[in-house]
Parts: sequence; C-alpha cells; structure tokens
Amino acid sequence: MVAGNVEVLEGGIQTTVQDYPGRPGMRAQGFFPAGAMDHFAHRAANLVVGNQPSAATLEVTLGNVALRFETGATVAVCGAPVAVSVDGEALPLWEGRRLEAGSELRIGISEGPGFRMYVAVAGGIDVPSVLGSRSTYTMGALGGLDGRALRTGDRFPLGTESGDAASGGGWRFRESARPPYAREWEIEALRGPQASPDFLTEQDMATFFGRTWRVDRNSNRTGVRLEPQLFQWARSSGGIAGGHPSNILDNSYPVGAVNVNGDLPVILGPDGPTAGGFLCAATVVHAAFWKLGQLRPVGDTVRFREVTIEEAVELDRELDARLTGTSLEQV
Amino acid sequence: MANRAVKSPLPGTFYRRANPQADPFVSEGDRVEPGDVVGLVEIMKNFHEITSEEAGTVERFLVENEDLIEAGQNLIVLSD
Amino acid sequence: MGATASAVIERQPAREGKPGIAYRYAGDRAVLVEYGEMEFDLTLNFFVLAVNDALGTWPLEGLVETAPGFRSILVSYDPLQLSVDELLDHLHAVHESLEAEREITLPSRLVRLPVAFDDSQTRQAVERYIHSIRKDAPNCEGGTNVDYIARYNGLADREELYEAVLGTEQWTAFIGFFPGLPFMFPLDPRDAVVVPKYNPTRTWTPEGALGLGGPCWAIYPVESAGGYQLIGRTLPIYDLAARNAAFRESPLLLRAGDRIRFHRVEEQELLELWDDVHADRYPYSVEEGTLDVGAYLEWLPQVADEAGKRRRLREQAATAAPVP
Repeated sequence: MVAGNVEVLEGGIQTTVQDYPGRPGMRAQGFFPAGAMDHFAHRAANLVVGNQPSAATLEVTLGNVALRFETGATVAVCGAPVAVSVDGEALPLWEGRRLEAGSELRIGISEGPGFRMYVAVAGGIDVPSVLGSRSTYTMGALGGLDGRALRTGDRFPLGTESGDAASGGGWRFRESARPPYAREWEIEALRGPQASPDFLTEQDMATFFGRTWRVDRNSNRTGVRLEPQLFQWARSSGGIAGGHPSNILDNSYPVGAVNVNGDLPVILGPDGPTAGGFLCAATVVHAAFWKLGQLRPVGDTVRFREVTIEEAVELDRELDARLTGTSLEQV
Repeated sequence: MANRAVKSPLPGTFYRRANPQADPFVSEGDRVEPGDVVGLVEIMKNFHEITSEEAGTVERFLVENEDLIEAGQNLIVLSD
Repeated sequence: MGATASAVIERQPAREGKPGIAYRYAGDRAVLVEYGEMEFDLTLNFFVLAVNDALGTWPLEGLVETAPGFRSILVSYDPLQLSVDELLDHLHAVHESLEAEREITLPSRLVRLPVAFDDSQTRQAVERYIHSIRKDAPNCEGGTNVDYIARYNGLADREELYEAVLGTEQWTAFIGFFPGLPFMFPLDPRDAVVVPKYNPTRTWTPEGALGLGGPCWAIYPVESAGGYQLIGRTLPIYDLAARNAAFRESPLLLRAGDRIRFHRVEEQELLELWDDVHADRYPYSVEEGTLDVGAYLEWLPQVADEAGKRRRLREQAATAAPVP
C-alpha cells in the first residue's frame, strides 16, 4: 500500500511527473534523459519537504492546477511566482506546509517572470519507475502517468516520508539562496562542438554571443526555439551530409546543445532528440539548465555568455552548495 | 464604472477567430453575455478559449489578432 | 575573458591504420570524439563501435555514458569526479589499445525482418500528408513515395528498388533520435540508394514503417512525425510492454552493429505476423555473429566498379528529379 492518494481536480496546461536526473545512461538507445527542466527549483522543493533531490515532483507549466489530498501530506511549491492556496488560505512559494487529509491545493496561473513550478510532496510522487526513472519523457510517451501530462480525474500515489525533520513541514528555502528570475535572461554556455573555426566563423560566434534572442512561442520540453539568424558559415555547404552548411553526418547531441537547423537555433531540452544531422554551435552549461525551464515563450529574451569549462564546473559547485540544509530556515 | 475589461488568464498568442476562414468570435458593437467566447489563446501548441466574465457591449479591442499577450492582460473593453 | 578559443580541444592525426581523431567540447559534461574526415565511410563507423565496446570494458570513475553517432562518440562524464584532461588521457589509452581498422572484428548479430512494400498504412501516411500538409509534393505523386525514390535513383521500376533493399545486409550504425530507432546503411555499396527528405515534415508515420532519408534507412519504432521517404512496413522493433520475448531484456529489438536482412512478404502476411508478435507466438530471427572488417574491406574492391557505375547513374537521375 502506498502512503497516500492524490486526486487531480485540475491538470493545468502541461503538468508532468519529473525526477532528477531522469534517465541518464540510455542515450545510446535513443533516450534523452527527461527529468525536471528546472532542476534547481525541483531540488529545492524536495529539500524543503525532506526528500532526496532525486524524488519525483510535479512539474507545473504556467499553472492552473488543483489537487485533493486524501491523506495528510507535506507539500512545497518552488519556482515561478504564482498564487498558491490550501483550502483558500495562501501558501507562500518555497515553503513546506503540512496538509490535513482532505485538503485542496490550488495553483493559479503564473504571470512571471519564470514559467514552471515544482510541487514536491514528502515521500515523493510514487508512480511506477520506467527504465530506472519516474520522469515523464514526452517525446517517447513513457514514464510519469502513462507517459503523458496530468488530466482532471487522474490519481497518483505518494511514497513513504523520509522521517527527516522537514518532512513534517514548517521549513522554508531562504530567500538569499533562491535564484533570480527575469524576463531578460543571461545564460552561460560553452562554444562547440561544431562552432568556429571549422563550421562557423569567428564573426558568427561573436554574433551568437553578442546578440539578444527572443524565445519562440513554440518552445517546450523538447527544445527552446530562438529566432532565425543568417550566419556567415565557415563552409559553403554541408558537403556529404547535404546542401545547407548546418548539415553534418548524424551524431549524438548533448542536452542543452544549441542546435542550428538551417538558420534556426534550438536549445535542446531534456526531452529532445538524442541524435541528428545538424550542427551544435554552443552548449548551455549544466548549472544554467534550470533557466531553460523558466524561459517564458511569450516575450522573454536570452543572451548567451561564453564561459570556460572551469567556470562551468565552478557554477555547478555553487549551485549544489545552495541546495543543502544550510539554505533552509524555520518558518 | 461603465467600462470593464476582458482579461486573458493565460499568456500566449491571441486569436480573434477559430480559424483563418472563420468570422471573428466578436466585433466592436457586439453584445456579450457571461461565458461567451471572445477569442483564443495559443500556448504550448494548445488553444484555450477566452470567455467574458461579464455582460456588456464590445467597445474596442486593446490587442490585435496574433499579438503576444501576457497572463492578466486586458484584451477588450466592454461598456454597458 | 579566457573563454575557449576553439571548439576543438585536441586533434590527433591518422596513424597505424587508425583514423584521425578530433576531441570537441560538447558542454561541461560531455566531449564529442570525432573520427576521420566528414566522409560517408562505413569503416569509420566500424572503428566507432570498436572504441565504444572498448570504453564499455574499461571502467572509469565519473564516466557516465557513451553514445555513438555515424563517425563520432558523445562521451558524457561527471565533471565533479573527472576533469577533461583525465577523460582525454583515458580516451587516448583506449584508442592506443585498439588494433588498426582492418584488424577489427566486431560482434554483429544478424536480424531477419519481413517487409511489406508499399503497404496500406504507409500509403495512408502519404495520403494524409497530401490531404493536410502539402498537395503538390513531388515525392508523394500517386499517393506513395516508392515511385519517387525509384525515379530519384534512376531505377527502372519499383522492383529494382525493392531488390536494392532486399539484396544487402543493412548495417545498424547507431540508435538514436527516438528510443530504439536504427540508422542503417547498406553493406553492399551496389545497393546504395539516396533520396532527399520530406519538406516540410510529415505529422504521422505508422509504427514499423521503413523509410529512407539521404543515404540512411530507418525503422520507425513508434507512431510519430517523420521526414524520411516511406517504402513499406516491417514488424515492431520497440515494445515497452514486452508483449514478445524479444523485448523482455530490453524494450529495443536492435542495437548498433546489428546487420538487418529484409525479406519480402505480402501485407496480409505482415499483419498476421504483427498479431503473432503481440501474442508472443512469433520468434524474432536473431543470430549471434561477427563482422570481420578486414575481410569486408578486401571484398569491397570486387564490387567497386559496379557500385561506381550505379552511383553515376544515380547522380545523373538525381539532377533531373524534382526536389521536395
């Protein structure tokens, strides 16, 4: 028997079960990892309710979600600013609260900045693990709840609470440890693998890192589409791989790669294609992936800041250091 | 207050018609009742209906067809 | 400010019968290791798979996964456990340990699969495309892609095209894009066919469809969008529910290094086989085996003249054919 049952009264725009880090290790079989698109808010929410960072949460896109808890449970919502209430009483974001059996949790629609919220419940969302993860992989239609987003009338079970002090509620993620959300984002990236000098010119890379990109409205967990850009290209054609110089012989893509399809750059998200025949001009560093989950595809803009590999690793350490008990305080 | 606004609960792309060939859901001068559909908003490749919460007459549109709109933005001014 | 000046971390020239190697940054958690020049040369893929196998048997703390492409491997690692320099040292040692390309013998299973050409489901995919996406696509004339593929390759008729599919073992170079999707290339260069992809792409493709894009064959593991020209349909190659014994150990039927041999069946028989697969009455034909790269490279010159002749005919026909 599972520890609790939750009924979905309102599923929202796209609400999926996600854990962290999803399904790494299966790329050679054609699986991108899936997992929380904003892994910072996901991990913070778990921390606040005493879960392991890997525990499954609900990734709420934009909002309009309502849940009814049939047993007592400790919940926290972290991410983009949004109105959250428990039986009509406001619940601040980044704060764990114990809910009585029968409580209703309602999440409104976020007016931004930011785009996604994570609902952690002590014990985690206990849908079956598929190929080592509970994450919903939207492109492969697997994991989570039948491989799809939540719908009204769905039910899901909760796992066993850890017994950690925070799993009883009453803890908050310190404001100073929370990331800044914006409408104009700066995203750290490394150049390559197919950047200058052999695929794009130095001028192209200067343009790439210099300009501001608007986030296209057709962005999702598969990829964040930017705007078309006419690059100079270091080659006149794709050679054996085909006409356009953005074409290469098919290779595996890293998560966060800025994949250039013709003239259109797309940042590959956690549910993206694992491989293909287009070049990758740059790669968003792991410590900045969380920002991809918060880009609002209605007017947000992005500038890429080039960093070194050493800086990227240091940013990751800083992020991890903020996701520890020292970032918690009692409400 | 004689003038009130119809807001969009969602951000996305605003459409005045169900498809490019269709007539607009409402135009200036039309009477709307609570629950009447006045437009669509597209977000994450899904379309959501925008309904008026109040009765009134469409005085003017504050946004154009296919404009990007934000959550909570005023779309239409209604008058009595 | 001290940023990486180049996407290339290091290059090693070709030597001792092994291809040149370029190590490229692929973010802070992966390195893309690329072999040889950008040429359509299956030998590079044989080398890729040999390296990938060797990497699997040389454990290294912090190495997360390796994913082959046509002529490259994406090596993912945890930078908190392993530096790029340490990773490159490891890769150098693995490359050093390998034999020259022609000395390689790869494990390679032979998988036999039935195919029904120009079946009603792939025709339905084409019809839907004509109806809802593009009426005047030259690749969809007559409600099928088959005639266009034949024409683009200068083949006399459909039968000649079907012979090209059936006449060779297809080499599974890697799995990717989608869970379980094989990227396959003919081992016999005389049976090479090439075709441009859909423009724009299709929104629906039936599960098990066999398609061609550029020089590459693929089988669609699930119903999905797609851009390859369709020639027919084979059996399921992916089943999370493991309805057939072939999927008990892994939901994927195929893996990189598999050779696929197609045989022709009528659609009615194929549909019966689908039922048999799902009822676990159909045993997939999978034989263990190897690919001896040296023997393959010795055989290639025997067919080089004929392959070259057919390639020239193909290129000539392609210039006269409309592009989607």
